[in-house]
Amino acid sequence: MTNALELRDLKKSFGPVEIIRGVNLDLRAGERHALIGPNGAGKSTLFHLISGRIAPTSGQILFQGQNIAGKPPAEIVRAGLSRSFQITNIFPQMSVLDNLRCAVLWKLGHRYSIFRQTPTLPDVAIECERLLDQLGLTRRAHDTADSLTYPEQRALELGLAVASGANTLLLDEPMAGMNHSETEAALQLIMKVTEGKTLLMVEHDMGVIFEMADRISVLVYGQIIATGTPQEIRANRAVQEAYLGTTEEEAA
Amino acid sequence: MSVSTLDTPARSANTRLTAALPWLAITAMLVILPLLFSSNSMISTLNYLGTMAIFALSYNVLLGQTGLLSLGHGTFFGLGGFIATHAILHMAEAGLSFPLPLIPAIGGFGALILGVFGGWLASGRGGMPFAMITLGLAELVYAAAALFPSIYGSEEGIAIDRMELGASFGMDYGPTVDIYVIIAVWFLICAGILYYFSKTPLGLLTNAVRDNAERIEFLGFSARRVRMLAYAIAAAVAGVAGSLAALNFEIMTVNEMGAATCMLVLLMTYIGGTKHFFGPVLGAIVIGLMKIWLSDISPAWMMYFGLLFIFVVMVQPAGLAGILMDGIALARSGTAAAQAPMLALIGLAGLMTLIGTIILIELAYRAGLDAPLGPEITVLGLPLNTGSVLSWGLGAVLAGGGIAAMRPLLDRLDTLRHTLSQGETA
Ligand SMILES: Nc1ncnc2c1ncn2[C@@H]1O[C@H](COP(=O)(O)OP(=O)(O)OP(=O)(O)O)[C@@H](O)[C@H]1O
Ligand SMILES: [Mg+2]
Repeated sequence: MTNALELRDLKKSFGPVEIIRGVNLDLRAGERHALIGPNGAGKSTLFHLISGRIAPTSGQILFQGQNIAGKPPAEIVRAGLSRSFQITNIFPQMSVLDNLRCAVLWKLGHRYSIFRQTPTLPDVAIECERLLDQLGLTRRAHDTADSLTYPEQRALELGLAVASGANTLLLDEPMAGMNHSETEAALQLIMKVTEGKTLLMVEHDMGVIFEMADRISVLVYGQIIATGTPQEIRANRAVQEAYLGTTEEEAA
Repeated sequence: MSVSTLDTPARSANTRLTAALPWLAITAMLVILPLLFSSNSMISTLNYLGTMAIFALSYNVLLGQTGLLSLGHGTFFGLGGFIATHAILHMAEAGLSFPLPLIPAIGGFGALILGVFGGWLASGRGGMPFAMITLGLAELVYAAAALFPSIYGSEEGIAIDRMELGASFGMDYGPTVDIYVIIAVWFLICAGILYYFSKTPLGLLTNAVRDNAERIEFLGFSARRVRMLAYAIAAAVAGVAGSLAALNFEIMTVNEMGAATCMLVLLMTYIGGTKHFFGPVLGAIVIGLMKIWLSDISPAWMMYFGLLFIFVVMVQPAGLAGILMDGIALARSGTAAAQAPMLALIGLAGLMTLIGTIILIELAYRAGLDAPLGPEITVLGLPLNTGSVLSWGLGAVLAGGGIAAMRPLLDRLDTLRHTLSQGETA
């Protein structure tokens, strides 16, 4: 099986503090991979490194065989790797539809065009309608993004990541702050929109993780201490000691 | 596959009609205005307002659309004007015939090229760095002007004769109204282009940069590229406006691209309203008229400028266009009649405050700066005297009373609106 993404001895320091301390990770093409770890372990920082928001101090990030370490975010998205953010990161004063339009413009080849009006582009309209339908936001298409409810904003956040057409997605706590039924709905949504894609997702809810993940990696204090199937991770002593502890009973 | 829920044919035909309405109204206005105000000085005023309206529209590409505060937009107004001026001088010298109405295209194109260069320098980041770099560039160009008197002229600037290029389109460009025609047509062209631009993919991306510049990088775009393109487009249209100003006044001076011009366009755009496409036009008209008329009748006109600016910032950040929209929404809400008495009282209190403030300001100017003109002064038809307690008292009572009445009146309006909306839902 080929790997979509490979991290090789990846390190990141902020000043004297090393936050990512030599991460090695393989993401197989087409798998759903969960990244778990305690608060402050460096999960979001790792996503920032992969997606180009910040440059690593050392190490390699191989995406489809190419080293993308230190490349700007736009180039990485165009190569086919996109992400969502832990803290909702949308275009608040624009309509939901316009948010999604921005996200599909590059992949449909319109880019910085000034020769057509966006609402008259049939491919953009069709693609956005499909996305709105998938995300359950059709009714909200013409409302501004900041008027959405929290779960709706999270759906839009997810939508922006998916809409770019990337085959590999990094989702950073897509259901953080949701209640039980909202989480369940969000999980179904994620399963639906990421079908056939490679997924790396940070999540704290063990129930969600054991339900959706093919494999799980555990990041503790800037290092991956274990990678394996849910069963393997559940049985792993080091993981239990370092992280799962009481959470295992909760999940069971 | 249909695109039904978003844009049915019926709906788009309908929206196309409503979208065309303002444009038809504006075209009609542009035709009617010179017939209503046909005196030479009035046409000249209209020309000035039209020029400023184009200039303000161009500025809003940056301020309202892309969320960029440029402190040096006057540069491109001035540069466009100088390019147009030199184009006319050179063509006249070479004996070339060139239709005068197309001169602004040259000024605009020149400004576009310079705008790409300036944008490349300024648009690495938004916010404060952008504002500072644009200010620096403007100062640089302004200071450089002193080094090239052959390009920018000296103190008196560079004069042209707009009739020198000969007649075209059945006009010889002597009468002011010929220039009005040119400005009106260019206004429609520029407003049309900028409106179209706002609907294109790049136009949408400028809004995205305004809202959240970082995020578009994660959608495949470069925020820097978007800023640069917006900057260049705004510069081009400002260049057209500057060229029109040169045609109108038949002279271009370095002052046209100084700090005062940069500030004026910012004030016009912000006061008019950055959130509506035509807001800046409204601002250009109101501020332009204030500048022309108030500066004639009051030494304190800059002060009124400042007060209007503060008023808009405090009362309605969406500007005069926002206030207008609020008014339209009120009229449509069906509760306008119920609110009318309260609104009239508020209007009265506002009027009192305004009159009182004007009296106080005029008295203060006469007592201070203009003391040599004597203590007697007529303000709004009232004979006042800077030495009389009665005059000062009148101003103070009106202004103070108006302000004191305002708060409780606004509270009662709130209560009234609340009960009205309750009644609606019940
Ligand atoms: N720009 C930065 N400068 C300095 N320290 C940083 C920076 N960004 C993150 N950190 C630190 O790095 C550590 C890891 O942060 P990160 O956000 O990656 O954790 P996380 O695993 O995503 O946690 P959470 O589960 O709370 O989201 C934290 O201690 C944080 O304070
Ligand atoms: Mg995090």
